[in-house]
Amino acid sequence: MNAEALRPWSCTPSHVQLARFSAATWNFHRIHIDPIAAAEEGLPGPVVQSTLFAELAWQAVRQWLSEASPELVCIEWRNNRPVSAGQTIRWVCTEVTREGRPPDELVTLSLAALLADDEAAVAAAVTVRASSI
Amino acid sequence: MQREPSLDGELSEVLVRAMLRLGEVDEEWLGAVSVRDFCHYAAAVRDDAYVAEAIAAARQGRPVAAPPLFASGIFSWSYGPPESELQANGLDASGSPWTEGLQVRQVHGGQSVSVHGPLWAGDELVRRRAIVGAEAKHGRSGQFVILTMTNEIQTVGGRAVCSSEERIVIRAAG
Repeated sequence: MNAEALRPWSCTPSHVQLARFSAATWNFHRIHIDPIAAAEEGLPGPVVQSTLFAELAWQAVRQWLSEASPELVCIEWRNNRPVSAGQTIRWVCTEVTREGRPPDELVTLSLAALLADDEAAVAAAVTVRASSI
Repeated sequence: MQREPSLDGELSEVLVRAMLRLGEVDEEWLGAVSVRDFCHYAAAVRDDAYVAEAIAAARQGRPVAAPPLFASGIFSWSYGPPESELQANGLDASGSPWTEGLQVRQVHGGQSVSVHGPLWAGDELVRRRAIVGAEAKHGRSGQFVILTMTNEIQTVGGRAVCSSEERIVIRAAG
């Protein structure tokens, strides 16, 4: 598996999605649900939750490895820029690395979440068990 | 040697409060998790296949495992607070004692999560949370404080579910 072979996966979190994610995770930080609070911070709309980015990165990896049932071992991410509801995020895989030996071998996919201007809003690394893919 | 500008008063208060709590472990009983909790989370992240499979499994009496990022993704496990105790920004004041009453903004800088094993519907959980780092920084965008928090979630029986480390960035408001 190499990074170039994995086609970018795009998603567009909606205002409704952010509101439902806030409800499911009991996160009522107003910038995620209230356009007025977001505007006060100079943002065009409610802001995607940090933990939703982790879930979206994991969904991108599952999309790429959809022939298998990948087992998540760890995920790490860094938020560089806020993303608002309605903005399309394009997940690209930048690198695939392997470490360890079977049966404990791990595969790590490095990802970037790109916005329309090709700037990365989020950088993530998702590690799965090699035997599961 | 160039001298760093002194830290904004509100930010230095955040730093002092956080440093006084370094290493203190806060243990919270989270209660039992249900298929319904898992499905609300999965529906919110548009994992419709999970919802259908989880409901089918539950109806047939088979065990249902949570989506792997469910436990670490729950922002708050408390049943409250009363609306009157929310800060103007919607956050629970008691959830962030290092910023309570101060004119600061806090955002999530990033996180790492390790998944140790499956979380099953019906499992009863506890979380141990601690501040393990507090640091003042002077970046291009001004001064800020970075707090590093750790979370460990396990069952009351001691089976590890997940652990995480998160960075919280705090800046002066305005």
